[in-house]
Amino acid sequence: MPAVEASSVSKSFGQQQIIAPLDLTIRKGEFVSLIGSSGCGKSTLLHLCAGLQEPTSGSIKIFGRTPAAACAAHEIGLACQRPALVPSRTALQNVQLTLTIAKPKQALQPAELLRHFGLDEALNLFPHQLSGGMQQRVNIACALVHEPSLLLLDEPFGALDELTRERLADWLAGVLRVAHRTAILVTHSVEEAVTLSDRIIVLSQRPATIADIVQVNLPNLRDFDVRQSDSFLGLVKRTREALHRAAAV
Amino acid sequence: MNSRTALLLFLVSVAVIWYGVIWIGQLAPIVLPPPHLVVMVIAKEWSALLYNTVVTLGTALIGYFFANLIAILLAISFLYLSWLRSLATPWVIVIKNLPIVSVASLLVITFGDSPTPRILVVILICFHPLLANLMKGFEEVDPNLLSRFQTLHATRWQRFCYVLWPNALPYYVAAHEIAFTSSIIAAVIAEFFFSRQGLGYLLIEAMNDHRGDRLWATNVIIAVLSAAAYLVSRWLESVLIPWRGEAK
Repeated sequence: MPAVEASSVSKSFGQQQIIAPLDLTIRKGEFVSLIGSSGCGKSTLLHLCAGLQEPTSGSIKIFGRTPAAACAAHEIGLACQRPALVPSRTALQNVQLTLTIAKPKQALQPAELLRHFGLDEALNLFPHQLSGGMQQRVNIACALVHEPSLLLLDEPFGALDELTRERLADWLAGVLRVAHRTAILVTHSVEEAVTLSDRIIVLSQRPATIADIVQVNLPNLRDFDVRQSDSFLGLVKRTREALHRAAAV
Repeated sequence: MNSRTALLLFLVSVAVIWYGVIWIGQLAPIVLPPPHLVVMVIAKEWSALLYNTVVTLGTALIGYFFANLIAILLAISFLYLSWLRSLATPWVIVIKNLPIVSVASLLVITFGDSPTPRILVVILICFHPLLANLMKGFEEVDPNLLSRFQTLHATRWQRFCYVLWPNALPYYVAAHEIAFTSSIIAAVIAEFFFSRQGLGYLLIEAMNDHRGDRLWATNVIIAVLSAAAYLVSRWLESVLIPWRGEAK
């Protein structure tokens, strides 16, 4: 059973069509990035997968269920660009809050998870006391702690500086390699997409359709050396060209 | 400069300015009694002043309690029942903009010599800032946080307890700084019109008797009560939203 199966999914707001009917299948354990120009409908597609919005036509199945049913089964973890943390709760309490609400049968230990994320010193700090990068790690811990089958990432590193962004992308790749989660990442960064993904889906201008698909055949560990390799740079070039073609349509 | 030094400096400045105005204007005690005379009145008439202070404070606190109750219930109702919000908005706007002094006299005529009109005046003055701030707090919730809770299939109650209410709390506490202080002033205004007790009544009585010293003594007590109300609301802020303190 595929992790995500979108069949002829479209989305319109009033008269404006955001997503033209498209089909998309994501395998279990696959990391897929959605890339496209600003406002092309990437986040809308992610929101449809999360059950935050209803498609105008077509259907989406998450592990064979509707997105709402997948949410009810706590199969979805969501992390957005702006960390969705409760300001009155510490980092640890924020992660624990996911478990309080989801009450999953199996879950990771929040404190252990945060330590694994390199936040030993930050467990009892409030969100405003954390740096942007630390907040985002707590945010991703909140999305992962109940062990969802599908992780949805909406430009999680979009608001961070280049170096922090690169470090966090490395860190996330490591985390997901261990967790074996299916993940969909919305990003504007071609390098980030190539670093993290098994497959990159390039979306056209609004209304979004799938303009191109870039298969990323690189070793799982994409460290600094891999990112300097010709194959990596070739994929970055190929994705960037696809992105330009899609934007020109 | 720490807050204690600032307070001491303030009290000394008030006394110096007070004596200074009397000296420059060569004002008679009946026009502007000196601070020591006011202190003497407070010491001499402390029993009557205390009794009337308790009466005013009681009116203010009861009115403030109901103002809070109404504001919280309305804000939560408006959050979930948009039709009720549309229905109630004209009422809220009219009540907010009522000329409260003239309405107070109408309430006294309607309800007679009872605590009811005085409590109603306190409610009318205090409930709007509380309601407005609570609604702002509910409306300005981070949509990403609500999305996160939706993907976790959180119940409406969980969303309220863990997201909406904590977000509204700083706004609610901020409203206390204005509304709680206003409750004292509102109770005094209400007592102006028809009352046989309370600090407002003492003010009217002192004016009728040309007792400038008692008038000033009563005003000093009202000012102290209002300042205390402000300090209580600041203390509430540190208790109810401790993470704000951590930010300082």
